[in-house]
Amino acid sequence: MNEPIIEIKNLVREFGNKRALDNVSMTIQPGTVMGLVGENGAGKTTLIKHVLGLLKAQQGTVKVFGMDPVSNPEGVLSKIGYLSEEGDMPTWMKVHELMRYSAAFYPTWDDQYAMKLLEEFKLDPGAKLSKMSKGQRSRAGLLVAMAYRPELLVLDEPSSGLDPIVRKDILGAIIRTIADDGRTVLFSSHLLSEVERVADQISIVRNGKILISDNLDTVKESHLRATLLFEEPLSRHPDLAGSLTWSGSGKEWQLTYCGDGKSLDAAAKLLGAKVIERAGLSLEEIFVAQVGAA
Amino acid sequence: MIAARTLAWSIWQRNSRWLILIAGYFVFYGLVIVRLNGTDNHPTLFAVASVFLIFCYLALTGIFMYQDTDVGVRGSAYPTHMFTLPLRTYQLVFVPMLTGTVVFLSSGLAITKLIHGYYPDFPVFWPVMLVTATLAMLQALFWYPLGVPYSKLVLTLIGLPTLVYYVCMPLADKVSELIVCEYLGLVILSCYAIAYHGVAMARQGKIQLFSLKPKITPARIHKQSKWLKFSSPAAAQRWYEWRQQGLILPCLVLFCCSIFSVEMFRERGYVGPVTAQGPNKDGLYPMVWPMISAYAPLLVFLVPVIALIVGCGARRTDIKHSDRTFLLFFGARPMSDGGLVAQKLWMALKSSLVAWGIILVQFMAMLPIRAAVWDAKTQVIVDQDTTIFRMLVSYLNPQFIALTLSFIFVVILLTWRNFIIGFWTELSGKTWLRYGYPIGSIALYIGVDVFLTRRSPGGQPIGPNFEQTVMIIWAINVLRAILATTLIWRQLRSGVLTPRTLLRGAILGSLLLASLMVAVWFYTGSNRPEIATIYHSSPNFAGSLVIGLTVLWTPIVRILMATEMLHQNRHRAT
Amino acid sequence: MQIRITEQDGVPIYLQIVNQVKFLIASGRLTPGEEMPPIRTLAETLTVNPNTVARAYRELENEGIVTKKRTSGTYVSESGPRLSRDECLKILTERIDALLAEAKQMEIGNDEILELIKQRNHLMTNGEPTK
Repeated sequence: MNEPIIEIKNLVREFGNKRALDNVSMTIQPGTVMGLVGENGAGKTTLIKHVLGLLKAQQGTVKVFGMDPVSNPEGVLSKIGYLSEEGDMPTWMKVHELMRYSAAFYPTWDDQYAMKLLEEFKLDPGAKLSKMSKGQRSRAGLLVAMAYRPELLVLDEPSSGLDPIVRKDILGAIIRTIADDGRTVLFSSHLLSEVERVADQISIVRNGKILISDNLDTVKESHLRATLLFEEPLSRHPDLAGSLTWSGSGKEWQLTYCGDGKSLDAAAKLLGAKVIERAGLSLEEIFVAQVGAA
Repeated sequence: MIAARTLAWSIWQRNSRWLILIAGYFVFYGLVIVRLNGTDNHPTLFAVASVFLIFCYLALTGIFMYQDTDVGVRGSAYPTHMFTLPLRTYQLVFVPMLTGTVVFLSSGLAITKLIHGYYPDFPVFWPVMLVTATLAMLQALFWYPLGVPYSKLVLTLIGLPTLVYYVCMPLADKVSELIVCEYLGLVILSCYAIAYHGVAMARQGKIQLFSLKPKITPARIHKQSKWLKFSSPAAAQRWYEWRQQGLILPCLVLFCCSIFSVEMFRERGYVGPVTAQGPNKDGLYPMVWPMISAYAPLLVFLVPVIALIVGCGARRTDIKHSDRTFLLFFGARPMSDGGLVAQKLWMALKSSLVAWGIILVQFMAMLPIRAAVWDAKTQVIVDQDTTIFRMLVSYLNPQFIALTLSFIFVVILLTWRNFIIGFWTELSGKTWLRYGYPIGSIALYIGVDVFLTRRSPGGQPIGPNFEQTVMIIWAINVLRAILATTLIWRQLRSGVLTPRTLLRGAILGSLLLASLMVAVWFYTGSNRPEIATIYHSSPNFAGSLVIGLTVLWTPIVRILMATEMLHQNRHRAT
Repeated sequence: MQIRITEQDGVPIYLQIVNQVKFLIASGRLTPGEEMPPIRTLAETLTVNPNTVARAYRELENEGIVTKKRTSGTYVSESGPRLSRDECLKILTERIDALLAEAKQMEIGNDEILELIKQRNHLMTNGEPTK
């Protein structure tokens, strides 16, 4: 097994008496796309800031490329392409100045690739960042985050508040980054349909804890929606291990379930019910069920 | 009327904290005037208090201009979101303008009246009219959608000195104050009209467009990038710092030079003898135009002062306003903490050098100006048709050159020191530190000044004597040395400071100290008997060491603090 | 190759690709011997993870529906089993289920639907409008 790109162990972070990250562990192997999913304020950005070394671990360890991002910011940050939610760029720069400036920091900067992206994103190189639309600014940020083909691309809510066309550009960028083999992506989003399209792995974060962290396929296969038909009408839903949410009345009850189909059949049988219908869940439904149940 | 009240209310709502602060300062200033009671006892206190009064008016100007865009904006700087208010354009324009005028007039008159009461020579009306006209002018200028980028800045730089000039000139020529005030009133009224026209245009989305810039195409960048590439990350970061914070000091110095130039190069007879050097080799003294003798030393003195103001935070910042952490862009630079600070120090040095370069050009411009030569023995002007350049040449000797060079070295060092003084407070991301530090320092200086110049009821100075002062300075130096050692120890352990950097810093520091001591030695040397006596002997090694160390410890501790604060704030632990 | 991905239903994306490729072959819109788009291209046009596309191609290859040639790319199998009859029926059944459910909602009887199917078939084969 290769050395993991990111290895976080038992990370704890408190702001005042609010626990922003609670014993978080996460490993990201090279070549994977990790989608970080959670509500606003769940701790996604805090986690990403630890990866960038902008927050120092209070407890636990953070290793990126096997290095500590706090004590070796140069070594870590020069291999990371980063785009934040707000852009957070010096808006007095012009696009071509931003490119020239960024190029100096990264030995792997590819001028031709940068020019190609410039044309693809239809950016005016003479335009000042402050005069550009939010979407164009994000594209400019994406350009300088990608043009040196970083080993790790970190995107924090890259597409929030942007129009669908910019979002598609950003997703395309993620896909191209991993298609160049060996590159890794960590991105957070609350647009679950995007995550479902591009992620290999997902982590669902809630209140600073990681609820689920697994292969997207595994997560999808282990969640299903089923309709149970009971012999007698029930006034409230029965207890069933693995069930997340319930709805229904009388004899027919619908539930979301975490586990494999066979164990559900067995559990239903014990309750004297029959599984009359089952279907897969979209990531969004899984998220709602998991977060609702937690 | 309701509209007027709503707008005035919104100004109050948005700036209440500042307005209260400013009002408080007005009261404080009034108390200072009352306390001084028409005497000359505390000139420093009076000067500092007055400088802050100017800052108050600058802040007020900002508030009434609604200035929240950058000065380079091509369109109107009037906030566009207000265009959607259900108000007539004249209300949008005249309410803030009138409020501003009323506030400026009433507060200004109250202050000048008060000062006039104690110092009968002090003028009452025209200074107030002048600041009011300045406000109206800036409002008109910034709200007018001139299509040229930075035209607002350029016009301000030209317009303000012109306005001041056309007030001072007539007054100097004994034109009555009433006429000057009438003229200023006219200026104010025309500014109202211009502002109205400008905002009306901006509200319809119109702009006076003049496109001058050549279009930048990808092909051009590609060609440029070949030779415009930065040689290293450090070079790129230096460029960033220069564009981010380095330009402000040269710009301000240029502004002062341009203001002074209006008056400086006017012939009004000669004053003199002006020299810090005694007579030249022919036993003659130089005489120059009065404004040159007044403004030239002022310019030299101004640069470190402006650097201090800029250094204390009057510049662009890398700190986010919302949560006081770094802009992620800045924090995520792949560069070590020490590297980031180093580039800031370089930027400060370059900024200081450029500022002094501007002063140098200004002084070069003086060289061909006519000067006169005065004979001390006969008490007559010998030659009226020499130039400043020829006069300087008559002084040239190795000692004079060495003295001049060491002076230039010291003032540049001082400018740089003043520039970097606030880095650590800014990088800490702590608001109270950032604003508290300069205010606290000024309060401390005033306190020390008052303490040192204390007089007994009989008028005898009762402050510490010279030896005691030296002892106090030494004690402070020891404290700083302890602080510096602690910081170096910490940073060596945490890896922020590498032994190599420390060694390089130590060598640089020693070199600086040596050159400082040489410079000090020149001043306390044989040609300065009056200073040399202070050190009991001349030239004095220990004396120059005291001064050298005292000057140097401050930047050393500040740099270490800056690195420490950057480290803390960039990788926050709490 | 027209493939549409939706995140709305619970079907995993790789399975959506597999099913749709199968359908395209069954309906003759992909012919034996035709080259499939490279993984990277398809991933970019669909904006889905290339690993997902690769997985779909693997599944298709395992079922013998496409063949990977070492040098060039992936092709629709020449000889390999077209969709089994079961598979075809399964696809049709799903569609008929949907049709029947909708008809029930609209209160249209089975006989009427059968009649409609005949009519449409007649129209398709003869190209004559029947009123």
